[in-house]
Amino acid sequence: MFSRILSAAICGIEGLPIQVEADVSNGLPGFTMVGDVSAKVREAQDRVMTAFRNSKIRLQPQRITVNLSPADVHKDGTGFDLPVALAVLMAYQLISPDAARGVMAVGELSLNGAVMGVRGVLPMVQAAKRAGCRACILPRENQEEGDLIPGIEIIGVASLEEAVSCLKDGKAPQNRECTPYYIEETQSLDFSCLNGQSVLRRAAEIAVSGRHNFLMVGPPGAGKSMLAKCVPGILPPLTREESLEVSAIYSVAGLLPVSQPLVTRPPFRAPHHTISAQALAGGGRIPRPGEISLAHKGVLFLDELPEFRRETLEVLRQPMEEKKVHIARVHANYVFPADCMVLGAMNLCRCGYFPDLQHCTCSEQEIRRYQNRISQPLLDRMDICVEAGKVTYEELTSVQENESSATIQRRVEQVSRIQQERYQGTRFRFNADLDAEGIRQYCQIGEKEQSILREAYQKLGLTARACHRILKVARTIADMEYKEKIQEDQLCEAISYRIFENQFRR
Amino acid sequence: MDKDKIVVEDYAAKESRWEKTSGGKEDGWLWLCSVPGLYRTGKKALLDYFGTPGEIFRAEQIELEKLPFLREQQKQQLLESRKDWDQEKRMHILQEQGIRFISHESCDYPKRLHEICDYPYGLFVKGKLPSDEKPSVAVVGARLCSSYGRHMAAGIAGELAAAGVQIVSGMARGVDGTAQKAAMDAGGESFAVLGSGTDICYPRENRWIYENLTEKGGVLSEYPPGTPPLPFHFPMRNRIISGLSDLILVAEAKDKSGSLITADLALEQGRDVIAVPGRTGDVLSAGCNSLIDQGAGIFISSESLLERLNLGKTGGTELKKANITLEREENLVYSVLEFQTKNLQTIADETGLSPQEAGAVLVRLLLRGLVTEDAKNYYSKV
Repeated sequence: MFSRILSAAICGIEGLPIQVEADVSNGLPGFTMVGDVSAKVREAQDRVMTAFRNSKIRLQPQRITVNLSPADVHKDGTGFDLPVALAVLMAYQLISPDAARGVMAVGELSLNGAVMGVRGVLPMVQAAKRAGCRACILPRENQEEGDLIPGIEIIGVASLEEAVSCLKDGKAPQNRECTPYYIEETQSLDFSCLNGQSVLRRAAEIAVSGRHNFLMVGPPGAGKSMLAKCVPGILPPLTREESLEVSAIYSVAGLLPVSQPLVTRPPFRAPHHTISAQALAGGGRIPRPGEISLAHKGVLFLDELPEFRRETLEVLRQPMEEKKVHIARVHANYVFPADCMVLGAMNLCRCGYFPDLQHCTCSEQEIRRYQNRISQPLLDRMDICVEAGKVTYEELTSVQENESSATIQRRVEQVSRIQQERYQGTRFRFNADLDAEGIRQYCQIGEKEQSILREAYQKLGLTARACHRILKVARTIADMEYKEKIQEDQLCEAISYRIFENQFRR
Repeated sequence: MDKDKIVVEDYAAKESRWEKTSGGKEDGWLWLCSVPGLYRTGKKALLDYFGTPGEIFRAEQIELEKLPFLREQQKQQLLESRKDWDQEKRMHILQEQGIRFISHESCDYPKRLHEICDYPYGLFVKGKLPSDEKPSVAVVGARLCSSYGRHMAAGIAGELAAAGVQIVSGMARGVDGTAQKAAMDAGGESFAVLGSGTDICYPRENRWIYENLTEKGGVLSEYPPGTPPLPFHFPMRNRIISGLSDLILVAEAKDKSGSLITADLALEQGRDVIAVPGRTGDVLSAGCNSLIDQGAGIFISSESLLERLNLGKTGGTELKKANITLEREENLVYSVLEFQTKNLQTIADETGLSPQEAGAVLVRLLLRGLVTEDAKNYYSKV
């Protein structure tokens, strides 16, 4: 008897519907799995047969063949255990084959018949919905995650028996209430703790408002890392679609906490500088999202930028432009979203005090070597660069009330709204997303501003990319001041945030 | 009997080869100066022993191999360069590269350089040689210099060059290159003495200066073309910088820096040393201040320096900024700027402007060429 049930595999961060087919025939008793399955999937046969026995399901020894279709897609992971078990039971006619129509099943089986959680449930449920399924049988652990997708019934099961009875009688085990959508509190440092550094505060606000890449340079102990810790506090919360998108990535990476399956705050990732290129961009034989994808719609903070390995930093170049990471493997190409704001912090020399020549003990060559670790193309992608200068003792101990994160966040949200209204119906979200065409349309400047930009281009040795990025930053500054058009002041301010080759490497 | 004959023949063959290849003009100096790895002291010892480069060329191999004052490698290189020496071909290659060779016996050889005790036996020159008639001043200083040092070097070099003084320096990063660039910008002449062959531009980012020097001045070296810029070449070339000059100006120097070595060499050569004073406590001016303490001249103004060189004030360089009108805010920002570099935060605090306003104003001043951004958010007056 032949039977089938729908399941899903993960390809990149997309769920891919997979038909699990089972057939039971006469012949030498055995269990065969075909359909380009990995070792992990093939192990399912042992788990499934043992789970049957321990769930008091007795089967005649017969020849079982299981096929995962489409057979040309490589399948990996342990989520096929449950659908394989259900398909086999249907093939034995212990469950009616009609019961599984329009149902997707995912889950790992334990030898005692318990169903365990798997990675990537969110994109799988999305795929089920796209495929027109009416229900999903998921491990209980992943039920809340599945609940995030509306319009599809989510059945959380804790054991194989529950899954079988639910298919047999159509009776779902006691379903829990849908968890309400709530916004997580941030646990970042507050901007009111940061004394002085008005230049840095202003630049950070612009960067976050338009999601521009931001580089801080300066001596050690000036407050660069502290400012970075404050940044999550002024990021506006994710919209519903954004949070589903981000949650899907976290789901695939297996990083979604059981209690809080929806990521509602923009992620803030701060990998240590010993990270490998694969861990940053995503990789592995079956690629998994890297830090840059985990920072999707949020911030990727790279502290001590020159300490990162050069090849690690260079992989950032393409995703920073395209907001996506393409990873090619023999069997498939994967695309991971990587739309994040890159926040960098660095000293200008090994001792950290350059350009303060009174304190800097580095030789001219040492400084050059240190700064050369950051390639010009990467530097070019940094829209905003400011110096975090030394803070005076008076500033440090001042009791003057600083602006709090909440106040800044309100302004940032306001600017985000302006941008969303302007970019309604386009593929852009923030000013930083604009491409050449978008810049022509939304960053128009007058005659006077044109002449300033022309002069800057010629005198300061800007690249074409730098010019575009200046315009995007100017657009954000204009938005912050509720200006329809970019004016001279905003343009000049945007230029002042640029870092030029000649002042970086002298 | 037979043996004697062979020896005589051999000698005659060598003689004729020498005649043929040397052309007699520079009498072997080009060959001696082209031996790689052979420096002033080695050449001096060889000349003391043999007398002339021709004699060294003709010397028996065994005799050369026995010399106690040469290292094994130097002997090898000496012998090797002798073996396939072709003066005509060599001259031809130099000509193609636009390089001239001047031996110390040539009448073109700079007279000032002859005065020093360890003058180079020959110079490779791309471009012109410094003229003996015009005064020349060496401007030297730190490679890693402050904006103050750069400003002073450029200002002084520019004014001196405009008054007809030849500026000699080492084309290094920092003070050296800045001074030479300013001299050429002012329409004057400048000469660089390199620690490598004259066909090599070191450091590479001074390519612009190098190209211009070969047209508006000259690039000199005692090392043959193709010599890499090895670290120990630089102290040796410093004696040529001071040797070519009437006066040495140290624009900015740390304590125990290379510029102080040049100043010491200059004193030994009987040249005047003038130092640009800095603030007490400034690390980068410590060397200059201690030079003054030891009795070096102090830089007061370009006019007094020109008087010292017996050149009157030419009035060629007036203040260029006299006619520039600035807006109120620009004026405010410009008034707090100094030649010492200041960061944006300080400028904003001192003017009372917000950092974004100050930043925007500074960009305007930057585009008008009134300020420079020395490092990110660090500005100084031009």
